[in-house]
Amino acid sequence: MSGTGHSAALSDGEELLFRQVHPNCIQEGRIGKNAFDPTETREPDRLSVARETLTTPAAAYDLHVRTGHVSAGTWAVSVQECASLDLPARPDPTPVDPAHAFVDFAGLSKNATKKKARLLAKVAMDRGALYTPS
Amino acid sequence: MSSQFTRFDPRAWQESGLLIALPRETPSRLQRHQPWKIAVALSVTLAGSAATGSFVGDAGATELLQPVPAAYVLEGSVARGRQPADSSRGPDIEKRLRELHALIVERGDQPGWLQRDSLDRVGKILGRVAEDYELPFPYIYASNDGELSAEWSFGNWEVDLTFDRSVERVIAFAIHSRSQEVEEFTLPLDRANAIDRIGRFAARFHDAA
Repeated sequence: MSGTGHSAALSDGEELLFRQVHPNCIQEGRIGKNAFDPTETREPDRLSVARETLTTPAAAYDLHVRTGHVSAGTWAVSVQECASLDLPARPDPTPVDPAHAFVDFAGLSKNATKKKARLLAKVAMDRGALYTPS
Repeated sequence: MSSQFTRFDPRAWQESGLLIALPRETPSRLQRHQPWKIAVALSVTLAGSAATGSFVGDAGATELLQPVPAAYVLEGSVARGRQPADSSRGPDIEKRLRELHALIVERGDQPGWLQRDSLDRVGKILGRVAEDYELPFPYIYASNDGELSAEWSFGNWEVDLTFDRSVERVIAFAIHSRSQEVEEFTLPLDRANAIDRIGRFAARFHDAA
């Protein structure tokens, strides 16, 4: 995360938001709810993603791994799919990752957060992996 | 249908229709007799030492890891089950449990995270639920704080069971992906009917799909 304030929400509903999924969150190709649960991360109300308009599924994966993280591949939800759950997606570019954005879970209880995480995981799972390393 | 036992006489087991062969010489073997299957973990105790194994029984024969020369007590349960696993049984739960065991070892049995005995207990519970209610095995994931979640997708219903780290309680949760209708309850696992409540909950969404 680079900024502390809330930037305006992304408005192109069709834009995909790439999410790197940890191998522990995958079993036999199925991703678990915790893959989209921000309470599983250091910032419990921000789910890190990368914007389709500024990167690609493969490039997002490469950057994630190159910066010391582990990923099984790139999955995605759209801005509109997040908005339909009352989850705004906000740009959050950093020097390392200009495509960085986050899905904003601010103000939600842990229970509500987990509920929405389940639904995002379902949407991403239905869409399928956009990139997995060969 | 299942039967429970805490102290088990193999002669009685044979009388109940389950073929079991435990040679007096090593290694011991358990062999199921169709259509029975061994549904959960078993332990063999002899002369004060114990050998344990997890058998979520699709194999025709299961080999214990330690010699069993003579006297023994078995603990666990057996259930009249389906024929050997196929794709309708869902993911390979035994393989997944081995993967999670390996993950625990990889993390160095990290205090405050998932523990082996907790994983074994959850495996037993899920084996019972799947067997008794004829459900596919769920997908299993470990969270960063050591909780285990078991997840099924039944049509538009996403159903999951979240076990706390000490496996003292479970949160059963289901959400309809279109209507976002939610059903949820929390259950202490020391309740006598805990597995039945979990099984009935999951089976309802399975049957509706």
